[in-house]
Amino acid sequence: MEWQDPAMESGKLGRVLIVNDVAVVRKAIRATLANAGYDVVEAENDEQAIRILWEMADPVPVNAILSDLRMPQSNGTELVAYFRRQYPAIPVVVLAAYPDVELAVSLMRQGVMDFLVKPVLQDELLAVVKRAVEQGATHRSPVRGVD
Amino acid sequence: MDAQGASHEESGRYAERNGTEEALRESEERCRQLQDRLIQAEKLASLGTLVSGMAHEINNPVQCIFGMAEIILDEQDPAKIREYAQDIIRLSKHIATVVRDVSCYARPGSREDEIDVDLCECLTEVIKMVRRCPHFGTVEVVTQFQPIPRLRARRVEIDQVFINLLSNAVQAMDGRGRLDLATYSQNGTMFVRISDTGCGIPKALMHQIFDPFFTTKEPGKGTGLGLSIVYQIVNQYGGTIGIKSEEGNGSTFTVQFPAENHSEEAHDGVAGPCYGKREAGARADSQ
Repeated sequence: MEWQDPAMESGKLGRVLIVNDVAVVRKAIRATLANAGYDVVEAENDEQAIRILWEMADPVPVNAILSDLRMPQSNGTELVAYFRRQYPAIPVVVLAAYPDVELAVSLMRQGVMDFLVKPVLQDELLAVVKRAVEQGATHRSPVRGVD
Repeated sequence: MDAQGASHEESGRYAERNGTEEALRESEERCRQLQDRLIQAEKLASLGTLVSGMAHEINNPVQCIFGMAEIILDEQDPAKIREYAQDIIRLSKHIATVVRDVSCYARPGSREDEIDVDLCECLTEVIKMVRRCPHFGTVEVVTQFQPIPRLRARRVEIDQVFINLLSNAVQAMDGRGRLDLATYSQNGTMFVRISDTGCGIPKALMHQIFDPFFTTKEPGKGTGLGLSIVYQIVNQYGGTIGIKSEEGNGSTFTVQFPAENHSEEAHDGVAGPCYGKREAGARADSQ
């Protein structure tokens, strides 16, 4: 029997995890994505993000991750590397505040799907998230990463 | 030696002394210029950290403003529109605060505005300001001001140093605790000690506390420039800042200004009498 993505089953376009330490940023992104039809889960730091992914019962807990890099109590770059290592099937989009080309190249080499620099307009954000969710859907494997 | 010869020799000595004084003045001026250039170089060195921090502090709220404004365009629910509009106002205010703080950080100072600053008086004035903060609560303020020389400096910058340090101390105490302020001098070096009984600074963060935009406060509650500005200003006057802190048991910041930054008058006298007092902090206090 073919595996069904729980987020898709619920009539949503997919489930996106937002990782950002600023509540109002999460709120704005959540509103944009939710209005467009996505199911959204939020984490304010690396610990929460890892826990969310681990505790979700679904084999593929989210369809895409939208992560900030600079968070006071988390190293965003290490977190992204963790996502790529443990959940290679989940596309990661970085939403950075600063256009650091070297870092962008290094992250793309690790398999990050896109490196967006804030501020990003709604249409661009939605287009990238759509692409990420679709890419996740074609490459997914129902195996949870282990640490 | 005849009178004419003696007079000639005296004129020679006079000219020599004048020449030496002139050379000394030029050398002092060159030192000052060099010091100014070093300060500017250090500012440039920290520019990278500053720019990336500033990008974070500004682009985060701008991202939200974009997002919320675009949502408002299609939103029908007046309550939601109002909520997002309020968020936009709050975020815009935050950006304005960041820009104000950065301009304060980057402003090149002019030595022309320097006056003889009485550090004890500065502290006393700043305490009055900080008492008006909504989170001052019932903090007890204990002062022990010993006579110290005046500092040749720009008053507004020294006020800024104490405002930032005292505000942080008060915020760390969350409305209750004891704030100890002391001034003293040793071998001409001036010391200002600010101790609080607040939450303290975790050891792991100590090396970052003077970095521009580093903050342990909740996002949006602080720009993370306060201590960085303190560092810049103190450093500009050849001073240093010592910190002792223990998580859960408070922090002590000791600002030290070197003897060579005394005002010229200060070598003959000191700034005011020795005074100390203990006051219970009450928000109603209208000093």
